[in-house]
Amino acid sequence: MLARRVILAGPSLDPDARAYLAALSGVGISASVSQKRAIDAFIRGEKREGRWTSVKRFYLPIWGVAAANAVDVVTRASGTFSGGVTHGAGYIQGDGSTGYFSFAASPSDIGMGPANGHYLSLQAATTNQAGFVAHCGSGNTNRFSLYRGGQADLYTAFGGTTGHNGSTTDGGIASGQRFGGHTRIHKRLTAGRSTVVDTTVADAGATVTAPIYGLAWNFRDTAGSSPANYFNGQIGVLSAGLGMSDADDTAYTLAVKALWETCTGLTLP
Amino acid sequence: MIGFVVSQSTADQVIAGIAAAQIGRGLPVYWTTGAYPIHSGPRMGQMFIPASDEILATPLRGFPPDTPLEFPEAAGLIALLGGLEARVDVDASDLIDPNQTLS
Repeated sequence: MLARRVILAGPSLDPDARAYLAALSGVGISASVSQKRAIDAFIRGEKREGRWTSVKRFYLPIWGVAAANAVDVVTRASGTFSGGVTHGAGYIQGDGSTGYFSFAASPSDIGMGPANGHYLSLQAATTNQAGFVAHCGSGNTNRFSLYRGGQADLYTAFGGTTGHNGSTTDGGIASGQRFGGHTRIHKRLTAGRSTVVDTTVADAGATVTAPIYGLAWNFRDTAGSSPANYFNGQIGVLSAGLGMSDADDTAYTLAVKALWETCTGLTLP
Repeated sequence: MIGFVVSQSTADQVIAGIAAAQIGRGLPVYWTTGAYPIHSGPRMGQMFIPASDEILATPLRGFPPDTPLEFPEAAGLIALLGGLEARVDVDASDLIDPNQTLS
């Protein structure tokens, strides 16, 4: 009688998770087992909930080296770091004068539009610097940005002239979106999530073609523009994509928190 | 801010050289010093290439990670800029674009 051997194999990684981890490996980064599981669980969860296709760019700059930090989880394409950026354990940090990260894509490039867009920035420390991205038209009127100075400021997203000054960001996750006729900014700390701004001011204007930046922002809506305002906060996650409902943003930011904390061993403020 | 003050053409040449060093290795351009217009101060109108010791020691890739100075192309680019001793200290406020301030 022939003996049979049953080989038990563990569950395979999600294809996008596997591809991202392979991209990290290609630049000399070996994720730990727990990091691999966390990345896999995050992507699987977002796919299961139907949000993954709305996420167009997702950066997890926690690896300590520029090449790894520049890899997009979604496409595995690379953004570009410029100037003075520290690549710490669990975050990147700009020098506040020259350091920034370019997504190498504009909101228009990734399908964001005047009525539909979502940004997220995770700050590792309570530096009161939103440290996020901006894309802007001239005259500060078409800005969708989460910026420094202890405020999460939103000019009517993707167009219009109404300005709103929100409360301090205090570190944590700042997410902003244009969806379903609403423009919202949310803040998530370990203590919970809150809404900073919620307005139904109508959007207007063309989709911006300036690049999306992290750690800095600019006011020029031109494809060849450069950022002008730089942050020195500690940023652990950057993402951009299509708009989400309030409920989806709630779940998404919670999942991002879990991913970053598990991968870094740090705790969200 | 420690770095080099150069003309636009020299800045373009250096930035292109940094990009070529990565592309030539089959890599995307994931890092650059960048080149920043100087908007005010005694060097207004020229370009600033940040090149502090910290920036030149940026961990780029691999384990242990390479740094910009460890790439063979670095020597030629630094020579083009006048050598490390040609670095100057530029006030960070001189890099602020007056047309891009929040009102």
